[in-house]
Amino acid sequence: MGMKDRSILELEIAKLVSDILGETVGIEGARDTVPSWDSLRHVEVIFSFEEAYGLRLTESEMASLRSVKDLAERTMKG
Amino acid sequence: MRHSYQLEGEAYRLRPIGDADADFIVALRGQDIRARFLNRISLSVESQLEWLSAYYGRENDYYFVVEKKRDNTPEGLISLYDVDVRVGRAEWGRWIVAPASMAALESVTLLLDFAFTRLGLAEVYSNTIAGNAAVNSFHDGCGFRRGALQRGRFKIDDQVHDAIRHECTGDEWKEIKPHLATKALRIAKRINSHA
Repeated sequence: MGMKDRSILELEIAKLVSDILGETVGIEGARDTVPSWDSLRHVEVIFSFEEAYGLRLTESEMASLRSVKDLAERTMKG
Repeated sequence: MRHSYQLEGEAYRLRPIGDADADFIVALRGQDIRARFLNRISLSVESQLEWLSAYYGRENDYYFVVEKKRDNTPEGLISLYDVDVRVGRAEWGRWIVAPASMAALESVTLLLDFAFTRLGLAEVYSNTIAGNAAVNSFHDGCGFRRGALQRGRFKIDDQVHDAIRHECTGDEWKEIKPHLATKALRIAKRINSHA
């Protein structure tokens, strides 16, 4: 997947996160900088992300994927 | 106090804290990126043991370690304290979950269920530094009701901070619990499937 594809992926994931949080999150969005991306909503983000990209995250990934970029990176791994 | 309550959830349990957990407390508070919002305590095992010694003497204080059931790994801390059985109220807090843990939802669900079901309290509340937006967002998202702003509630490094109080009655908990428990169960199934 090229750079352009990754950019599109990041935009898609930013949109997915934004829809759950009810506020606009950019591609730099991360749990540490977006307060509404809290522990409760992270659960919703994770399961929506899995459903959207047909992935099944491990336990450690569920906790450690903390940003739009992390999620995009995980998607590219397949 | 030296209580003996062990609260079993689906993927996590809450168990009584003990002296053997002092190392864990120090490590957890040290790694927490939100430590700037915690009441400062000296990050040494000795000071923790001293703190725990005083805690054992308080009759209205229940301090728990959040532990993964699968392998007994400690992943967090949570407490119910200032328990006033006369009026049926208590504060919950001292809540920290390791950044790499998914124990947040189940730990809160277990603690509040303990407060209302086992202790029969009428109301619990929490005080969170107003600037700790992520934790306040969590409380709001759970459905806990915002109470009065607690002016100057915390003092950290000589800085005074206001706190946002969130409250929850037993009746409100009956409404809130199913939503939290459903999400916690979904996480628990995944964690247990990795065993």
